[in-house]
Amino acid sequence: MKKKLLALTLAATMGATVLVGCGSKSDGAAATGDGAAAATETTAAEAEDGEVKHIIVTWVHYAGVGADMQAVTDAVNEITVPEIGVEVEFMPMSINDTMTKYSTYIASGERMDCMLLLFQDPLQYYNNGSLEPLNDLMDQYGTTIKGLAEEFPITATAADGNLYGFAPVDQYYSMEGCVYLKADYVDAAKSISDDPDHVYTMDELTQIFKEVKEAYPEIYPYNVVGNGINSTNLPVGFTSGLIYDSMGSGVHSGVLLGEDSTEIVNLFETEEYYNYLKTVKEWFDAGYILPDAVTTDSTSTDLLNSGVTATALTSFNPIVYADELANMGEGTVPLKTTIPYYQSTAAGLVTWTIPVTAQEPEAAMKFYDLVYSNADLMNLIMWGIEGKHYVKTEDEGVIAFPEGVDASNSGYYNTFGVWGDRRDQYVWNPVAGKEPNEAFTKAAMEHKTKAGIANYQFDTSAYTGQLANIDTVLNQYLPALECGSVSDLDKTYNEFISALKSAGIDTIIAENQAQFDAYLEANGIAK
Amino acid sequence: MNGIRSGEEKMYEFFSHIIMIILSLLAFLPFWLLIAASFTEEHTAVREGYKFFPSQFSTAAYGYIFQQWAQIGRAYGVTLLVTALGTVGSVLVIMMASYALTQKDVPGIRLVSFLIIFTMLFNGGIVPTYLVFNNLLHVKNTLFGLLLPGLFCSAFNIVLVRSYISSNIPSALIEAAEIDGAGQFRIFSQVIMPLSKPIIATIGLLNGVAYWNDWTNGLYYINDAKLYSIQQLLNEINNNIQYLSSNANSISGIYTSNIPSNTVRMAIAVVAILPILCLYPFFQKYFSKGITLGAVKG
Amino acid sequence: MAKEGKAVKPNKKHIQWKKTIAVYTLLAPALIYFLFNNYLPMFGIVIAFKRINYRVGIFKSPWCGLENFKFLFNSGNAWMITRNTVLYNLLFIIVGTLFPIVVAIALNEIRSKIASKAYQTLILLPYLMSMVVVSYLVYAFLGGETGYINNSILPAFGVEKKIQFYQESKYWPFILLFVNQWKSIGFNMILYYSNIIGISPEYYEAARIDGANKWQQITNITIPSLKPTIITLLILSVGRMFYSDFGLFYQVPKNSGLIYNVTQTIDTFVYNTLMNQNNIGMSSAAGFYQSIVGFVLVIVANKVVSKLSPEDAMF
Repeated sequence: MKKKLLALTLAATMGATVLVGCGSKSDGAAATGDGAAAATETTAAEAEDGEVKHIIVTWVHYAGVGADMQAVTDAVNEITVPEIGVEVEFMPMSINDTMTKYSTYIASGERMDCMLLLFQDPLQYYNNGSLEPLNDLMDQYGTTIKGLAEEFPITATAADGNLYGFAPVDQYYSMEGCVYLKADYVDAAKSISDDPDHVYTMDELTQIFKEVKEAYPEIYPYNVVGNGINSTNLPVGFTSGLIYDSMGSGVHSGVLLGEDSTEIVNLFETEEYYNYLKTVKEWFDAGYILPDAVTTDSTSTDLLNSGVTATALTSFNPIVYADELANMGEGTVPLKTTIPYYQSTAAGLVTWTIPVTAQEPEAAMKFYDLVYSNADLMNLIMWGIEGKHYVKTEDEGVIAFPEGVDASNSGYYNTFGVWGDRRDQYVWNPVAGKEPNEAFTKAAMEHKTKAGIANYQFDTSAYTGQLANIDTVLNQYLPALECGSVSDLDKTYNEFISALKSAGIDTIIAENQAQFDAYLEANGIAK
Repeated sequence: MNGIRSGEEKMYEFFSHIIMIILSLLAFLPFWLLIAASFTEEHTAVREGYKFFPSQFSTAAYGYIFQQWAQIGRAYGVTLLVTALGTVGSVLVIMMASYALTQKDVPGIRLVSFLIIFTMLFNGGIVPTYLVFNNLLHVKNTLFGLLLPGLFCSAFNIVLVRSYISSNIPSALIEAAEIDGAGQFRIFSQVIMPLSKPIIATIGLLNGVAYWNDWTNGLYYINDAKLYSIQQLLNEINNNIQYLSSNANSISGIYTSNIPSNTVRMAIAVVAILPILCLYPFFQKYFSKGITLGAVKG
Repeated sequence: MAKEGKAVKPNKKHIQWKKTIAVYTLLAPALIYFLFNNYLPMFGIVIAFKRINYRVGIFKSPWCGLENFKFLFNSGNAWMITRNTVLYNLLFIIVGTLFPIVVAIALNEIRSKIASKAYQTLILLPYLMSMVVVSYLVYAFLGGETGYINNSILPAFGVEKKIQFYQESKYWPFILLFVNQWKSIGFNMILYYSNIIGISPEYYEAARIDGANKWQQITNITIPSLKPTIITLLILSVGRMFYSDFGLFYQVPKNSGLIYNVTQTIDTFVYNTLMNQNNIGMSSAAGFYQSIVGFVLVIVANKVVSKLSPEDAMF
């Protein structure tokens, strides 16, 4: 009787499979195969008709969609329709949604012509067939982007030669570690150097924290919290003074330590990293770090604004500096921990793509290209309509809010700077303008890591399982270690390293090194 | 109970009170803490933690949420509608199916039982379910998208109700009705339903809370802001705050404003629970004593 | 007096068509729903065995055998997460059966209607909260710096040193059990309570006349009447042996890595591993693994029950 039931159930399931198979397969096919075919046909036809193509573009936000979204969309179309015959429809998605919904949408054939991958690894999407290769489209319709790509590392190419995405042109290209000290505590910190470009060692930071703590005993100077730490966002880069390059594929596949190295190592196993952990633990024991740092729900910004901590850990560059001045107050001092340097940005955290569910890929590419070439369009999408959402000031390229409008009540406020050629983007503070950025980039270009020169991409498609396991280990141990919140550092550290090894990090690094060496040789780059 | 109650009965009642009082306190105190936390000033909360009596009172968290009061009002409406429709509909369907399964003399019933229970054991996953509901049934951005996927009828409920009917409604009653010539529908509506009030209330509560607290259906099937449920809305606010904190360093151009994030989360929780708390007393009466099976006699 | 006559006995040769059709009509809405909601999506099980490539679609994607399952067993965590999941489930089943029954019986003894309603409403409050909110509240009590226990309760006993709960494994089995029961008692109790209040008072009267004391009444009348519900819930819990309440094990311990050895279950492990991966093949494989084990366990449990107490078997 049981066997009969099971057999029946299996039969029913298989029958069901066929049913839905027909349904969803044709839907999927319509979006992929037929869609592309239809598009090519109609493009040929409509190029002659001059008919307007309609595209759907993802618009990622975190704080909601303002009331004037439609007005801005209309203004956008006033530019795009006459220039390239494309009508844009924005698909607002919160950053949280993009993490979960993209796969589902693609799997079900949901139409998106332009898809932004933000804070996600685009290579995975490419590896599972979600993205269209863009080489031909770029040659035909993306001439501006192509030109920019020769100067700036904005395109992302897979190991098989397919171009699958591109990033905006940043206002600056460099990395510089920094610990910003809030204005209120600057007076207490006597050891601050007069030279604004002084590079502080960890011992010098210790001295400064000591001084702040003596003057303000209830404050915790070093503002690190566990809830912000994950394998892509590590305090070590901002605090330790270590220069390392994760080569665009993340710390889980090894890094290059220092400007000149071509040897890929496990960052966490190096002596330098261990010494950094030791110092952080000393800070914790000395009371410079919040005791609850690992488990607190409060963000580091909350703690800073509530007067619990005294610093912010982030990179130094003119844009971020302007932000921190706005958030932390004038008089905030950036304590730089590294020199400016240039690292590999191969697979960036901001990638524009055309997914396989696109129905008008040509129109999508045309739109992309226009955003890069037309600064007015780019600024329109970024900041909204002049006069309504911002007004120009006397400084070139600097804008401000109109009377009575601010970030909380503006009808259009775009928080993610991900569009086009950002060197021409309007800024809110002269400190963040074009000149300081160019100077900054120039200084960094004198210190390029070997990976930065090479534009190399590690092919991870065969290692997703191991990388997932390694990430788990990282996310398990790093918050406590980087907050100094461990009772026995050596014990936990050794556990951490051996867990990484059993997750296979040495194999991955060896593989990465082999590919990297081959790439360097093939491209004639000296080791 | 008739007659004088014995000392023993009084002692049992006394200890029962003790147990219930302790449990009630344990249940209520954290809730009070939640409310107190939502009315605390943000920076004080970060510095000192939550207290039962806020050292600094503030309604800023509620102010932040109710900036979008129009949207919140509509989200409440949507959620209420979905919960009401969903609960009534699902209870009806479940009661019918459960009663049907108790009729063991109907051919094939055991197989149907197995098939229904099997659904609790194997799950195709999010993506295939989405494919069925979206591509096949086109429920996207409709009320059905909030009502149907996952929540409308669960095998767990059916098993519970079937068990209740089997043990609490004597088959003699049903047989008597059949002999009197009543059809199955009449038996269902006039015998089964009136005698099942406790279990109806139980699964009504279970499903009602499930509908009220659900946000995953909205996440996948609803893009139109007019159809957001309250949980989906509040979850958005919460998750977006989280994302920003872990990634603010990775990209320039993020302009963080002063969101009172900790106390806002508490206020969000209170806002989400209140309506259910107000409605629960109406369900109460079905759980009280005095519902007897008087009809069983004879 | 009931008529003598056509007894309603199962007669293999004579199927009562009218009744059959009516019964299946009653079943129809539920069956249609299950078809769409559960059976059609089951095709998704194949995803666990494929390397998905959206360009060719799910159906044409290549098969890859058991490769998607490897990450579950590779990292040396497999034993720990399975052990945690199973042990917690056993603990929750045992406590989660005894405790609600005790409470349901206690509530039944309360004579005052007002008190009874009040208690019921209050203990249901935790059930209405989402686990995320519960995790904030737990933190409000257990937090190292600002937690209520460290700031108010321990000092009251003269203890100055603070306990870092989120870094010490030994407290967590108790904490998780407590939170799990606290949150579910309000509802679980109702399942039993609604059965208890359905017991005719005549039984108790008869027992009392026969001289039975309270304890005997409870053990001979009340508890046996709960047997079907208990057995049903037991079988269902056995089927969920490899699943866990994600909110409880992920949110409440705040995903603190130092206590993973006692808080990490199969579900949280899968989530943590696949959070950045977007690989539906692997997540589908994990779900399949849990389902298959649960399925086998339910069949076995049901067989055991059908030998011991046939009328309570589920199928």
